[in-house]
Amino acid sequence: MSLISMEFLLFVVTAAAGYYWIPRKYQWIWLLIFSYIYYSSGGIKVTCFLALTTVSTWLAGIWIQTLSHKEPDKSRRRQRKRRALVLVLLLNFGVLAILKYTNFAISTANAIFGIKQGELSLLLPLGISFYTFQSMGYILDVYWEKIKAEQNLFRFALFVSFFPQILQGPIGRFDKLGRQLYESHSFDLKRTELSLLRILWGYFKKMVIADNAVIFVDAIFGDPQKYSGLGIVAVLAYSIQLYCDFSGGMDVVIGIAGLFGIQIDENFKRPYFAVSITDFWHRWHITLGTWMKDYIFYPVSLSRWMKHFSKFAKKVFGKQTGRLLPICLANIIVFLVVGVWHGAAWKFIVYGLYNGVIIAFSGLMAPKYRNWKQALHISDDSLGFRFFQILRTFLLVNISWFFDRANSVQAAFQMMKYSLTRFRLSELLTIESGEASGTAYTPIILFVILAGCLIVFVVSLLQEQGRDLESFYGRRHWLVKCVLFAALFLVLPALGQPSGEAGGFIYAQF
Amino acid sequence: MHNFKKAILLVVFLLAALAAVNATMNYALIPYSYVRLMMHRITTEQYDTVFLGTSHGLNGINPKVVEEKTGQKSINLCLGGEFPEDAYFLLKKVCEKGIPKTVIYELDPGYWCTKQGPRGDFNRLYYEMPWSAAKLEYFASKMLEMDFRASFFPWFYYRGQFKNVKKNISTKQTEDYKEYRIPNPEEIGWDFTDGFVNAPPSPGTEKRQELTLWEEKDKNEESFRYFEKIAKFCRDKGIALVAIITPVPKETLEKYQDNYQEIDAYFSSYMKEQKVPLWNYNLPQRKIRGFDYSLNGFSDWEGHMDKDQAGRFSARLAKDLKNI
Repeated sequence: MSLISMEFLLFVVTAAAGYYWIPRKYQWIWLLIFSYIYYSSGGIKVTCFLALTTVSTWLAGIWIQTLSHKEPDKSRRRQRKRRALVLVLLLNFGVLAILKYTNFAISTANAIFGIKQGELSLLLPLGISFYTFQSMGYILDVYWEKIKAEQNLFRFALFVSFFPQILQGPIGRFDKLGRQLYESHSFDLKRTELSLLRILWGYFKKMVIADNAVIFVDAIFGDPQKYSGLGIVAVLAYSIQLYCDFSGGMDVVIGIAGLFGIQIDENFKRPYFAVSITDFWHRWHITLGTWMKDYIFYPVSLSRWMKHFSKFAKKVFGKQTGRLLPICLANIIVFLVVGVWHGAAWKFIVYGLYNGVIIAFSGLMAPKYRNWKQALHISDDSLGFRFFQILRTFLLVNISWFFDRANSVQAAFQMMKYSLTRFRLSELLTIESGEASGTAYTPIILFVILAGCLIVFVVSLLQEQGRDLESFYGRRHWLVKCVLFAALFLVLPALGQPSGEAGGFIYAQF
Repeated sequence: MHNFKKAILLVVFLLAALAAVNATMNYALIPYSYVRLMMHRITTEQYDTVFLGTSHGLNGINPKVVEEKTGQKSINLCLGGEFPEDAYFLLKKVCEKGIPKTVIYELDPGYWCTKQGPRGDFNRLYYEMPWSAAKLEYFASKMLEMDFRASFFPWFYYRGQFKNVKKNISTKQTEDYKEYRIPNPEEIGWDFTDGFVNAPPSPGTEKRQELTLWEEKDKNEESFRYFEKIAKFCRDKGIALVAIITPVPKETLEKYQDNYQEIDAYFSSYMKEQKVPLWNYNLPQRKIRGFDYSLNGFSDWEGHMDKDQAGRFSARLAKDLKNI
């Protein structure tokens, strides 16, 4: 069920209306039923994978908690708990790896060994990356005794399958999300109004900006030789498309959850205002970043072998560098995983490593940067320096987008080379705009994208300055609110591209 | 409670405003189409022979000629972009007024190995179809899965045609439009005089070569499923169903010989399973006397006939229909 289909809208309206109509103690059951209806609209086979993750994780949680309380011998307890944890991690990540990466492994083996093994036709359940990560986060929290295991299978099933977020996140945490899912909620007019506004805002970003930008992204990345003078334009258009598509999807998801009185985590915090790559990843796909930090970065950097490495590094490179190197290595490992998570292709691995190496290098150079800034009397608070940092980060991020979007690593390098050696903006007007008339509407669509970006930029800037836009909206006259709603509603068909041609939300494919 | 009532009033006001804007945009942007005429006819009159299918049929089957030769009241409901699913719901709509004796389904294999995009003429069909059980079923089967803008805002696919607003509005204010009469082709840009869209002859001109070839590996299961529903529906209602493949230029047949042989073999076998006769007018046994099989008799390589060719083809089709 696509997030932009008529049936999804009717589904949400029915779910929300029924949620407040039934007795409050059954509200979570209502949500569970609708979450499974939503997911199973994609097929019964894919639902089985969801059920497998749910049941295996729930059972493991109960078992690990039982061991925590009932096993008296400390080392035996640790050993048995670890065994249960490893088993459930292997099962679920194993399923994810097999479904997502088998064909990548086959094609790589074919290329290396010169064999001709055909690819397998494997079912890839929608949202498998998201719900697997969310469930595995839960089991790790139970293992580390940060949370108690959920005793009720059906309640746990709701946490895994909660429909607004199952397809494209955000990746929720049980301690925060679970409590809200099982609580009863009463209808709140103001909350509903703000949620609907958020949904419309998300659709605006996706349909009006992202779906128009994708015309240029697909054309140029699809034929970089033909449009060799537009490398820079392609990557800028992609940075717009990706941000508006993903954050727009998040707005829709957060808005829908808000209709039920459930507040899910923000996943974006104006990432293009970031002052460093590290800061960027604190603002972009926030829940993935925090998941990586809590479940990979800290365990890796605090592990025994990393402690040995740290000792060795201090001996060889000195105390300061030796202290930083394990953190650098842990960051590189985290971003290697981030790259692999993004897709089964070498370009995503390069994408991940690129980010990891920059962050690692920045970490190593941090003491030197501090000294240079002191010597040059550069203040972190100065507007000029901040602007320089934002621009620098934006440039570095856009380089990474070449790897993310190009067809291959080689194509990415070639496009980057063309970006420096060739620039022909006039080629932009030769790109067909998606309307049957060819290029007649291309200038209009470019204008729509720029106007849309300006609106998003202004809103983002106000938010970055700490303005409370919700309160600002709340104080407006009812007529202004009506006009805003009507405008947002009407601009979707007036200026948006048909999504069937532009494609659904990008991150729904994970 | 007071806030709640105020909110309800505001929502009603907002919805009313949106509905008004929507109706205005529909009136201004959606051009007058022969689909409107087709819909009006099937909801007000009964027909003995109904033609369903694609743009080949829309250009190639002259229902007036068929009617004259067979004595059976005929209507051409073929449309560019009409997939078997759309044809099925059209047929159901026809049968709400009266059950026809014969249904001829014009088969274009390209529609059986490609997926329907969001811009198809089905949007127009759906928009022009008056509300009924058939339309409700059409909505549930098709429109629910579509982008919500296509359902709420029918003008969505015409928003780029704002240059035609003046023309659209003036056309819709004419008596021809209000009385469902066929408009002047010179004014409207299409000729639906005889109940099909007739293209003027264009011998010797450069013809468009793009065409979709049949690929069994890309089978669109939905197309097969809905054709089988059409077949079952016809059996249940006692309607004689015949599938036809209209003639294509001999240049096309020569260039894509293997593909057209595959089409014939595959669909002959498929139609035999469905117990539906298949009349392939590219085969020697169905040669049409006086018909120009060269590209001169068509407007493109795909096989869209011009007006005169449509007349000859329809005469032959009528003769075959008399022998059912």
